[in-house]
Amino acid sequence: MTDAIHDDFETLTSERLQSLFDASDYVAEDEITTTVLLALKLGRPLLVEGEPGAGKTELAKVLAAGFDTDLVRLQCYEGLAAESALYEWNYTKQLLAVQSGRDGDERSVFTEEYLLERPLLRALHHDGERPPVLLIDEVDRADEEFEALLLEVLSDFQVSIPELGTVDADTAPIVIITSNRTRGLSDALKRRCLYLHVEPPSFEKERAIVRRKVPELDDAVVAAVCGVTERLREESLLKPPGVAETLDWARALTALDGVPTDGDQPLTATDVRTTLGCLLKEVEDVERIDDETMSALLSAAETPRE
Amino acid sequence: MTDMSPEPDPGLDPGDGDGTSHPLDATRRVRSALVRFVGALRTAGVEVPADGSLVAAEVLAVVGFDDEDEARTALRAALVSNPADAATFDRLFDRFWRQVTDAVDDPAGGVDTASLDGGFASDVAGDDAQTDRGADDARDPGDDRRSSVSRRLGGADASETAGGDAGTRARFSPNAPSDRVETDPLGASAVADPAPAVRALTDAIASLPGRRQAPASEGRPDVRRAMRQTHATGGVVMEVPQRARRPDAVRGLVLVDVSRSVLDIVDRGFLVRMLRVLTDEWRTARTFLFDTDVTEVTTALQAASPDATLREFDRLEAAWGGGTRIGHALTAIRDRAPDAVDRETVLLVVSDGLETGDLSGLEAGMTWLDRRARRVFWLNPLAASTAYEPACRGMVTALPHVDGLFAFAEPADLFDMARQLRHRQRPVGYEHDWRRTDR
Repeated sequence: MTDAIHDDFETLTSERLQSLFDASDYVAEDEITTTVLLALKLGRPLLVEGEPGAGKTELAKVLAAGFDTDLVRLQCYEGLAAESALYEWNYTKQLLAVQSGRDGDERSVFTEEYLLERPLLRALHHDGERPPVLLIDEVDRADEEFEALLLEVLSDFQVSIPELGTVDADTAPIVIITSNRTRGLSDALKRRCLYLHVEPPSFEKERAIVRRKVPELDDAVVAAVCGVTERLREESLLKPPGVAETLDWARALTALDGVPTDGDQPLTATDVRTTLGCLLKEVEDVERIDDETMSALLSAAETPRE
Repeated sequence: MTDMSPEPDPGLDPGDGDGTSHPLDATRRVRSALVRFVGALRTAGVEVPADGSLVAAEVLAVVGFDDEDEARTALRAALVSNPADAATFDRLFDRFWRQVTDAVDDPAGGVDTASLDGGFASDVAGDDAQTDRGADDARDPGDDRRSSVSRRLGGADASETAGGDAGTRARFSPNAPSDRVETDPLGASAVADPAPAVRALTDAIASLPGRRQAPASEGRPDVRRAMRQTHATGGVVMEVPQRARRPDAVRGLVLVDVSRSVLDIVDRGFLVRMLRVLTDEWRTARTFLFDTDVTEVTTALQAASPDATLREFDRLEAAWGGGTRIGHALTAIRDRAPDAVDRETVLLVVSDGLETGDLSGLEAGMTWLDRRARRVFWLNPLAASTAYEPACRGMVTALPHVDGLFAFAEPADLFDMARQLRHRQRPVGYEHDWRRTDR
């Protein structure tokens, strides 16, 4: 089944994939491109780990947009169970059917009519021309027991429903699983996936991302913005800023009157302090930015970088 | 270790990369190199899946042999699932790649008989040997005094037996060497059995679902209950009640400061027994002892008796009675066991907070724990005094990152901690404990 499904990806090349990323303004190093290409060619799920804001979820969105297909997203959370991820029987409808059928209607209430499809089953039942991208987001937030539910889906692209039978995928989805590493994942889950660890962005990568996403900002200001966030990550913060925060901050600077965006004037302490809420989301972290730290941040902003 | 890896894909052909055909020998040599590479990774401690060789062969077949970086990335994606293993992978990959290029360049070349493992063993051992040497170098020259020094440990029956140079050593010195754990039988402790108190604490902080079900606002439909309720409504289903598994288990990480300043206050028998009960009661409880050094003692705490635990401590070369370097301990745990704490983990730190090391290390470590752990509780023996205030620099640094600072000297403190934590809406901490409120 896997061979047939992934025939489309047989001819896919790194260059084509890279151009797909470029078209979506997604900055991907060779390591990301190669690993995604392998996952597509081999038809294996891709487990992407890294710090929050590193672009893991964005990767799935970019793939869905690039291949012009649907994105089926399962956002994981503590307590997530099969009823919310795989399928659920419509109990109310079943009970009503049982009650209304007391006069001799013996039809089963365990048919597709009473089945509520949840994201995993919906991804397997997808009837589009191209396989959908199934994003299982932040799997580390779900309980360990939930991982067991994923195993059958990830290895065989099928779901066994005891009352109904086995539901196979007509077209196996492209599966991207993300994790913030707030807990270790089981070996069984890892074994079924290719693995990609997205490192926190280097200064150069972050600058390239901001340039693409916020083109109205001058290059010198982009360098200053990335210099500040890079320096900020060296502090012991409860929530260090990710790329998403850097982009928020860059956009905030362009939106505010009086903040230099053309590179002629340097960022000031007031500019940084009034917009700090874009970068830091914990009051303890904001309170850490005293005058000394602020000087260090401004110094990092002014450091010339090539 | 015997390599149980299955034979890789027989279609693995190094000739694919440049479009030329090589003798079968080249394929065999690449295949062997790959299996040895996977085996070497396992030997070096990298967690490679059981079918790692097969997947590695598959990805190599896709990317070919033209580009080393591409092959490295592909194999890393197939074989490594822990960022901490990346350095080991890169080191061993270099040798693997040399063997592959040799096989491609000289397909008729003979098998390297100098080393049947392809030379990986020296790479793996080299790293270990280096680590060992580093550890030896870093070892305090006072280590050889450990086994000969006996000192007073807190406890009602402890007597002053200091000998050798211990009597002249400054107490609480940051440079004070650790002593080997005494393996003398613990005997009867003056402090009560900690088991009931630990169980009360476990109930209060349990967060992992157990086997029992209870009504819940969100969970699985309770169909039986729904059917029973329809008797009161003439058979009409008004709502489908839910049920969920009741939390009754704890996953914990316990960091115990066994510096001299703590052991002079906390009864040694009480401490060991409490840790053993924690290990018993909690679903998992990884435990580390630290003073100037860090030792994991989780398995030692599962020994048959408290005295057997002490003997295990001795076997593990656990030491106690030195200065307090909490920041160093947190850094070491972060490096050695990053998975020991996750978002389900409740962290217990038993320490007086009298940090003698670098405060930036303590702050970075506490920030990491605060970010990862479910809850962080600090048990401070000094807080058993009603005059105590957390004014020392270690506690001042750590306090913003803890969910509660409690006294820790006897089982009553654990009971009181459990009592406070059961009332979720009220403030908790040493300032609300029984010593201060029962007056």
